[in-house]
Amino acid sequence: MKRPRRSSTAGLSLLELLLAAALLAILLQKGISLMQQTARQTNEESAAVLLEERAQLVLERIARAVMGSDRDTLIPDHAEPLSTDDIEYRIHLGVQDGEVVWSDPEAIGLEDVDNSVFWMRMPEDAPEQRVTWTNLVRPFLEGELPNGMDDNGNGLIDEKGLSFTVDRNAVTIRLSLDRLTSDGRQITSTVETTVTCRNLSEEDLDT
Amino acid sequence: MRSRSTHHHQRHGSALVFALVVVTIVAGMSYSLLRITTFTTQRQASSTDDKRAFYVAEAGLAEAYYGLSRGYTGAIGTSDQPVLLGDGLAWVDATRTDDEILLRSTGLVGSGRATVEIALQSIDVELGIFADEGIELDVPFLIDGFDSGVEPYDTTARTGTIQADDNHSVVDEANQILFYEGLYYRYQNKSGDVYSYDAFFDPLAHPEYMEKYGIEPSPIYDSSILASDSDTTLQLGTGGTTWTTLTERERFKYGMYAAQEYFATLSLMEAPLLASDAAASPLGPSTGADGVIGSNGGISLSSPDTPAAVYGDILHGPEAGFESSGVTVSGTVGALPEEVQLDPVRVPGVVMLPGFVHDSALPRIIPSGQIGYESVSVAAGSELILVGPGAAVFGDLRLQPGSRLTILNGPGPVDLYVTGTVDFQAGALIETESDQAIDLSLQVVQSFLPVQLYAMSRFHGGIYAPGSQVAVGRDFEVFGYLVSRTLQLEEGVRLHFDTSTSGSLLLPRLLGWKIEEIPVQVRQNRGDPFRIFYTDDEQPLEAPAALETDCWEISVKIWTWNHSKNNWNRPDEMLGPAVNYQPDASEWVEIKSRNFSAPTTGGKTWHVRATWDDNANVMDYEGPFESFGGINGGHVLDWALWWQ
Repeated sequence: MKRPRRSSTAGLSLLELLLAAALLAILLQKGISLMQQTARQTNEESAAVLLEERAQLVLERIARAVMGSDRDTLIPDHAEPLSTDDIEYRIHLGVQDGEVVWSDPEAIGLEDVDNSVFWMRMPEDAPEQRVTWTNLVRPFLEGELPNGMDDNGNGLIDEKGLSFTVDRNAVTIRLSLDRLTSDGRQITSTVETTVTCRNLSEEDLDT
Repeated sequence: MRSRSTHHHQRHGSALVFALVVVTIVAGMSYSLLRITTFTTQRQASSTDDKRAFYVAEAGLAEAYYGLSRGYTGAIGTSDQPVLLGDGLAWVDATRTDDEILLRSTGLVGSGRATVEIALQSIDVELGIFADEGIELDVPFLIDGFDSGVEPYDTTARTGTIQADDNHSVVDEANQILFYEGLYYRYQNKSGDVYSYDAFFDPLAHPEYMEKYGIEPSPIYDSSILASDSDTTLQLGTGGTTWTTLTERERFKYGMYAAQEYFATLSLMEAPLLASDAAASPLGPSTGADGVIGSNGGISLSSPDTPAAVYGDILHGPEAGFESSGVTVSGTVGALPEEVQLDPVRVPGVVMLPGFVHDSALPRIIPSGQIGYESVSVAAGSELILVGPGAAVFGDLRLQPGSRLTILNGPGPVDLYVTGTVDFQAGALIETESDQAIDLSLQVVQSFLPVQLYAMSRFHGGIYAPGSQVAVGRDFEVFGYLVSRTLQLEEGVRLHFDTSTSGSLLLPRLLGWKIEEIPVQVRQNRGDPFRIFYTDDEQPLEAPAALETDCWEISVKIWTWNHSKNNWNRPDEMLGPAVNYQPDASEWVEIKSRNFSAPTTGGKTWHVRATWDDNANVMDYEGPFESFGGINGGHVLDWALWWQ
């Protein structure tokens, strides 16, 4: 018995089309949802990595400035549990006629108004030069609240988002940056390093 | 039929195009993502490499700084051939001026580059024999100096008496100029004519003194024979039958080379030692000059009954003084401009192995390299052999009578660090292979018991014990330097300061540290430094090895008629073709160097060009330094050193 053959030009039935459309819609929804989630995660991770990179970069700049500074010109020099959110120093420029030549005073600090880290040179007879290294600094270091206590357990009380502590020739620098992601979530990066001033007087060397 | 078939193919083709478009978009997105990821990774790696390069550059500075304390130039590798430091490459340029040394270190790791620089102040004080807290000696002793880079002590020293010195009279208190009544000189020219004179009037030759003391000019001054005819033999004597013939160097050094009319110099105070007679000095042979004894405190020397001598200079503390009784001091007496800060001993960090008592008849060998032992004692009849190059750290180091310590520092320097007791007992024997003081140091951190140096030894090395009392026995003869907190000498001790060393392990003082601009050619090429500088067949030298073999110090000594002495100790890179010193006719120059015989990296060799007047013949040489015999006499008219 010969079965009637379906014509090659015949279309799908309505039911088949509806089923296919429904399945496609479900798959698309799941796919889009997954992609959005992945994108969000990727964005957050990228933002965190970028923030970490930014924090490390700024910390490195500060650290190198401190390393090149003359310990005797480094002010103020607060030891734990006190800290400061700015420092002033001079760096070694070279030797001329047997005398060490030091730079004009320079400063690195936290600007409370816009939560930025600034570097500043203050020549005696010229306008000061100022550069902002980042404007993502937290008002207070990660985990710290302005309550007269050491909330984050790092030995410092109410330390700012950029803080310096000095122990003899060693300077510890702590920095917290934060920013909002595209979906309004806040991410924070905190970095810390301790460096020693390379330019020391005879008295400093003895200690 | 054909038209249906064509329609069917068109539908399949559109699906393919659609699929291709989708695949292209996805591939593009993937590539972009990959680029972003790669870029991020590279940026992070670059940041890490920059930090590592910074640390390598700092390590280069540390190596160079250490090298300076050993008498090296501070230069490590070159910008063409950096050396291996950690997992990167580095080189250090050393630039030296009269007072400062600039060390600029460049580190390369991966794509990271960093350059840091320190400025150092040279410490010119030659401590020689130094005791921090004052020196008080009341026994016979001898202190003099020599330069092992020029001539070994034994060929420099002479056996003579200081008989003439007993007869001198001071004619100028302010300038300590003496008139040696007991000295005689004679000279014989090429024709055999002998001219003898019964007084040595040199100090009085200055017209001012001649007029003051009514002395007629000596023929030696109105004759140009000594200046123009180097075949003339000049001899000194003390009235006996023995005459000492002065070498050309000595004639010049003691103010008798040229027919100058100004000879009122302190150098003549050293001359009596050259006037030998048959009797040997109870102090033994001496160079008669170049010694240094110093202290941050006062110096008191007395030996009323038996001879004692410092052939050289006295440097007492700025707030203290100097007094002597019965001790010959040939050089100047002065105060240090400021107290010398003695750097503490820096002991290398090595794992300390358990100590041992070596009491076997078979020698025990400590191989080259760094090693540490808690305590080492060598018993009678046993021998301990230390092989250089290397550094050995000991808690205690004891040599019992009859024991032997052999230091094979010919292949490389040996540094002995002792954190506890040093006890070299009388009857023990210490031998050093190298006769260069720079090749051996004994450094004592701080010993509560005196550092006992009573063994029998001709110790060619430096002893640095800034926090310890050091006691030296008469059989322990030092050819180098000795720095201590306090110094105690046994009767008859002989200490010879080797001026080729910097005089101690004092490090130059740090003036400043800064981060420098990375050289342009280095900054522009961020590739793998090992591929940039070395092919697969080549391996970079490691930093310490490069420090030892690739850094040269060239010592050029210039003696002038008034005995002022210029020592040019220059790192090799400063002696390029541009350095060309032309001494005038009254100067006597010797050119020596260290380590010239060793190969340089990169196939470069040192060359010298020199023109000098030798026995009235003008000589010249231009070629490799290794084939150059040096100039040990004669007027150098022109010289230059360079490497190519």
